[in-house]
Amino acid sequence: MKKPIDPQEVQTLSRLLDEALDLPPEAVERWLDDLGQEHSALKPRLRHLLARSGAVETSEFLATLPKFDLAAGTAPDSVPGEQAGDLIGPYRLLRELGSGGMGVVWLAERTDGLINRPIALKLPHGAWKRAGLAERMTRERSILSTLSHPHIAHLYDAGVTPAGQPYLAIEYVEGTRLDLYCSEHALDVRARLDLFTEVANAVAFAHGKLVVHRDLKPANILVNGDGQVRLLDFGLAKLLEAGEARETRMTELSGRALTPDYASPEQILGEPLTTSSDVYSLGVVLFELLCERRPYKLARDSRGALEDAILQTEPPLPSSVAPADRRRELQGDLDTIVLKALKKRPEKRYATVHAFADDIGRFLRGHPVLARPDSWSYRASRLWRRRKLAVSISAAAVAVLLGATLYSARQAQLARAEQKRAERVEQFIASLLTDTQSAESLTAEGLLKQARTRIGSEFADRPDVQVRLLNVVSRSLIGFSEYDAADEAMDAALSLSPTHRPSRLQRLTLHRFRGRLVQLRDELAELRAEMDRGDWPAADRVRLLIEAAYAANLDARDDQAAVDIQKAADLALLELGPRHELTLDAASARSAILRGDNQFDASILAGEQTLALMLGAYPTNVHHRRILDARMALGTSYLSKGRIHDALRELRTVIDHAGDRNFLALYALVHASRAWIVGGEPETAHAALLRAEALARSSNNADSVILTQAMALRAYALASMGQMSAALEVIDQSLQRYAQEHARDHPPTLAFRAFRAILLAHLGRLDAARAELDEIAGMRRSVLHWSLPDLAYARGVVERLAGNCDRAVALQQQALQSIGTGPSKWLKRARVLGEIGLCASPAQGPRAVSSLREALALLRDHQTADVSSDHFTRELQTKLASLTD
Amino acid sequence: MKDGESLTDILRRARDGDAQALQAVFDTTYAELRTLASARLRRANRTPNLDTTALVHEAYLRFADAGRLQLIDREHFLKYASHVMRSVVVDFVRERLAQRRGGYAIHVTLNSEIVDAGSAAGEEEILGVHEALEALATTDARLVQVVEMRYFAGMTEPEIAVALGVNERTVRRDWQKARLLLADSLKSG
Repeated sequence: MKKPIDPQEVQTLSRLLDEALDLPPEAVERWLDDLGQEHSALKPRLRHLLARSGAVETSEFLATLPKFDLAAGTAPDSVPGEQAGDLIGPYRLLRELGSGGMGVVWLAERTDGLINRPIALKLPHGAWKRAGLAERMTRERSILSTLSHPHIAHLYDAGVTPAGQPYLAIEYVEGTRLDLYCSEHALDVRARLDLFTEVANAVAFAHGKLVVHRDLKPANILVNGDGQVRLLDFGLAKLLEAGEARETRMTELSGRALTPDYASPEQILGEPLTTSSDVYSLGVVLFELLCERRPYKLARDSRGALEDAILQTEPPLPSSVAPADRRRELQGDLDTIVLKALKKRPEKRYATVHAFADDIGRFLRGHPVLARPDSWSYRASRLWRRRKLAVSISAAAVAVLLGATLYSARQAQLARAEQKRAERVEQFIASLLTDTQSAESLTAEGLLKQARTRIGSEFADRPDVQVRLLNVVSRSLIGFSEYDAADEAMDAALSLSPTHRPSRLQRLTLHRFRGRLVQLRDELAELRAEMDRGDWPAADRVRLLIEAAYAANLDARDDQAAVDIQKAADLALLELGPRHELTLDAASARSAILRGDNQFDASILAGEQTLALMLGAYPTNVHHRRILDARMALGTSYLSKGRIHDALRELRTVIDHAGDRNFLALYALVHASRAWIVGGEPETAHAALLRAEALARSSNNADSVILTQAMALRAYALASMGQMSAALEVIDQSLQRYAQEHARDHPPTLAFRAFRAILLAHLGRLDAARAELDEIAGMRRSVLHWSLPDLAYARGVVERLAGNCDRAVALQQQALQSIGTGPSKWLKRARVLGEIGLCASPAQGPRAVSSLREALALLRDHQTADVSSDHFTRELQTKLASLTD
Repeated sequence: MKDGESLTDILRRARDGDAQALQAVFDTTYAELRTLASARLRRANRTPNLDTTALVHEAYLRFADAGRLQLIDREHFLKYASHVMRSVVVDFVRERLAQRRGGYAIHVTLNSEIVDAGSAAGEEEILGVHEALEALATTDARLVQVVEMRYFAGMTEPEIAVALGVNERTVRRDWQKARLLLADSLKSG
């Protein structure tokens, strides 16, 4: 048995050992003898220890941590096993579908009904609580959810529960593995090739958006009852791998989650992967479909041997190993096609999955196949030499931007010349993602800038392609708020082709963003005249009308803005359809313009229509950026109208799903805080504003205006929590920032100063409070007219706190008259009525009681919490209780 | 942990005595080490054995790789990570013991060889060292750190010296004393 440890004793021993160990060995005995009486109890132990000290020092004692059994029980991560009925994020588990190297898969349903189909919920293990996983999942989710294709199982959602369990919600597919399906149905070679072509086309689609699968194998390719293929787990290997990469390299390769049977040589070597790796894996899949076995037969059945084979052994001719009755059919073209996909060196393979599928198509139609190494090698080897870094996440984001336009071009079955152009552009984008020379290019912005500089040299012979690419690059740069670079790309496009209409229209957007109003008006007028004369396609007309409406709105020509934007919205819906990007643009512009014009009812209506359009346009990705944008706009419209609950519903959705889109989160937090403050939840507002401030400070394009606003709001939150001196401190900071950014008579500044005066009065600094308000009153009347009720209200509060009740009531009555009525005025009315009630002397009882009741009723109607913790509300309740007792 | 704050910043605050920061470092590092350890054990079908030295260094590399640590923090991080490693190991052992007592009979028989040979003594030793360190923590914090780095994280004496900012002789002396004290408290009655 161990003896119980007495800390006191250990400490004493420690101190005595310090002394003893400093002594030469021969002096130890003497030292022990001289030890004082108080240590007599420890003396035998000390003697024993010191006698052994030499032995302990040279022994193995405590030299290493003992081996101990951890595998039993503690294995898989100590994650508690999930059970049917458990909730993971917004999903309820129904039954386990299976488990594998990556984790457990459950059939699940969404509890909030947002998705009504059954869902396969993947719960990866090993990723548990991994640092940075949540952010990475959010980023990747937004990329993967763009992979909307009938043959790709859709990724609905990916997230991490508060407890740290990551989850991936994927479309649930019922079906049979590709290889089993083929053998069960005894499909002939042509049927197998048809199915395989469907698979390849889906992979090519994803590659067009530059998402690489990385783990293609028959288990990830299902065939459903209708004989349709469905690809699972697109891009998931990457999603789960990032954190694992370092570990893999540091330890043995044998621990990898990926199935080595279908891994490409570069995958085995741990090199960066591109689309070419998927070409290889598809080659293995095709080999297996045709031959009923995999390319490599191994003497030793070990992973190491397999990896050696993948790296070094040339695969056999499919026709030499296939079932006898098929050999004849495979000889020749199919042998060549399969082996070309299985080349060790990526540049020897098909350059794209598309090309791979095309060649199979040629074979099926009886045309000569292209699979002859030379025709592709030049381009491909150029690509390979440049392939130095992995395709980064942001690279994929750019690819989505660039890829979307290109893919649609290809789908449209363009003429041969167009096809060629599309292919070249595709190559260019692929090379952008692999040819990364500096750290800068790892960011999306960096890649775009790099693209910009290379477009000129790569397409020197094709100015038309240059102009189109420059356009795409410029638009993407605007999306990243890189306006200088966007301008520069636009100028380059227009210098190549001064009359190119899409470029001219896009420059209008840039003028607007950069506040170049004179140029905006001039070029707008010019284009508008052209539009009226000529026969423009609908898309260009819509684009122009949207810009015209924004411009009119900027110039405060509200009627013109309303007319133009209505025209744009109608035209887009009619001519382009509800899902067209410009239709969505026009709708959101319309609600924004109406809101700017204080037409709240119309703006709410427009906002609701916009949201409905967005939800229809992105039916499988409910957290698409544009949907969240629409919710934010609608939320602020509701807020202006006093519909607090509706506002919070929308804004909360935005906050919960903004992910790493900081700007979205930031604005949603600030707007929601307004709702929380007036809804009686100042603590929630305060916390949200602190988060917003942190976001505003950390963002690259530090947005100082929103930061200043957040601070001012936080002062309101603090005051509502009854913390007047803290509130004063914060409003002073905010006002300091306002002073740097705005003129002295900037209206919001004045409102905040009036609020400051109220805080001063609460803190007993009545003279300072009055001085502040006098100074505001000295401003120009034109500035003041809208804030007169605010000023009277503030003066009233100060007088009440000073004990001048009659004066206070008179001032509040004055404020009440100038406020007016209407749903957007509720808060001011509540405040003023409340003040009147608070001022009342017992003699004025009945009138005060009715004022207080009305004020409290207004506050209660807009309350978001069950019990309001708003300081002012509490004050009113106390006063009312004292009057009605 | 505050939004956007790097591990480097938190380590700095922790070094300056910020208790909250210390907790944050602990939580982050604990999760990381635990994940690494579990991943390692799950795939090991040979004798489960935790190479804690590799784990701690690996955790460092991961943080550094993710840009959450600057390279200059290496020694500083290893000091904390050793402390955290101690908790990870002790928690594993405790869970192990609890499970052996509880309803995990099947697992036990699957691994009966390992469980019954040697490892029980190892577990005893680990918990013994842990308890003795707790007793020491209030009076001799450096001694505790030396044991954590040497025993739980398997760091070398020169590495420990750099991390603690003392010379190697001091580390050797501390280690000598610690082993004597631990030998004393681990000895049977």
